[in-house]
Amino acid sequence: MSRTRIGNRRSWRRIWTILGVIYCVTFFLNLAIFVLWYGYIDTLNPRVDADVIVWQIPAVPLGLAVTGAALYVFWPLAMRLAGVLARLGEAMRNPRLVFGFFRRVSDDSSLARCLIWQASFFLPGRYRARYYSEWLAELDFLRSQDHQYTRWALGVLCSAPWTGLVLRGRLWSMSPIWQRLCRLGPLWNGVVTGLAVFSIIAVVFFPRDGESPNRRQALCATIAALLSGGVSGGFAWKERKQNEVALERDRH
Amino acid sequence: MVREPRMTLSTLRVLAVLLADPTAEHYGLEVSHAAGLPGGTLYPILARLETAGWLTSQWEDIDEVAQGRRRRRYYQVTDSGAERARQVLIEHEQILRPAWKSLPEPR
Repeated sequence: MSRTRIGNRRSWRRIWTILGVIYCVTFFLNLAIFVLWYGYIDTLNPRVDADVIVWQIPAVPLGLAVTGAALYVFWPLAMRLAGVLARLGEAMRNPRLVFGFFRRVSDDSSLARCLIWQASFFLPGRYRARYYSEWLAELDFLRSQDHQYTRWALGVLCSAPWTGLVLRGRLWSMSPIWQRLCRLGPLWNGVVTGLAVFSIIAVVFFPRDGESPNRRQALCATIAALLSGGVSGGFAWKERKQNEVALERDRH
Repeated sequence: MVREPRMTLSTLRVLAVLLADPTAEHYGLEVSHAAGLPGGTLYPILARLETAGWLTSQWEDIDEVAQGRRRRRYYQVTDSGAERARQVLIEHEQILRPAWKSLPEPR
């Protein structure tokens, strides 16, 4: 196979992976907003538009399948697509099935296992089986102790790309540029504080009808931002200096 | 040449837990609970320490069918890793002491 074709396939995989991850993240954010808005998920509640959930539930396995399949093999995508379409057809006929879906997810560990399985795909091939088995053993233990295993599995999935990078030897230490940026920590502290103060003042005091703030408002917000940023950055720098001095004293 | 792992607060917490009993074998969840870290945070740290040679890991030697559960992966500090980890903890103790009040004292 030519290098160009391999390169094309890799770039396509990368695009599919990014799309899948965006899809999953969007879904979970959407669901979180939905749950926060209504307080709970109950499709029998007349206030809740069940169609929203009916259309979104297949998005999870589809997004995960796209991510996993794009990374390595394509046959799971076809299988899952067929399963998702079948489930979607059932849910379209009877929205109450959605409630059953959530109950099933909360009762057993299929979602957690799915998340762990997906997490293992972020690791290099030779480590995948080992970590998958290790995580499954941990999951069984959590289940036996009645702990929250789905949240734990989600955490494992979120950190799996970093585990993969470590195992591939690409996340050893900070790059020189990153080290320099970290060294400027107090400066970032001041900048972020100043921006936050300016944003809060703008949201609270600036006109909301599309007009620009007057000169006095803009000046006050800028001065407040500069002062708060300076104080915050100054304190951060002073604290770091004290720590460094203390550390140096201990060494001697 | 194997470079030293980057030290973060979470890494130091894990090291403190492992050094509480350097000869003992620990599994992931045990370390995670003792260090007060979310599950996901732990595995990149363990992988980093293991790749650096500070830890070794091995499968639990049990009969899964008889025990009715899967075998766990156990982690143990190596001699050189324990020595280096102690140095690192001493170096960072002054700065990080407030953050690990709840952690066991390294031996």
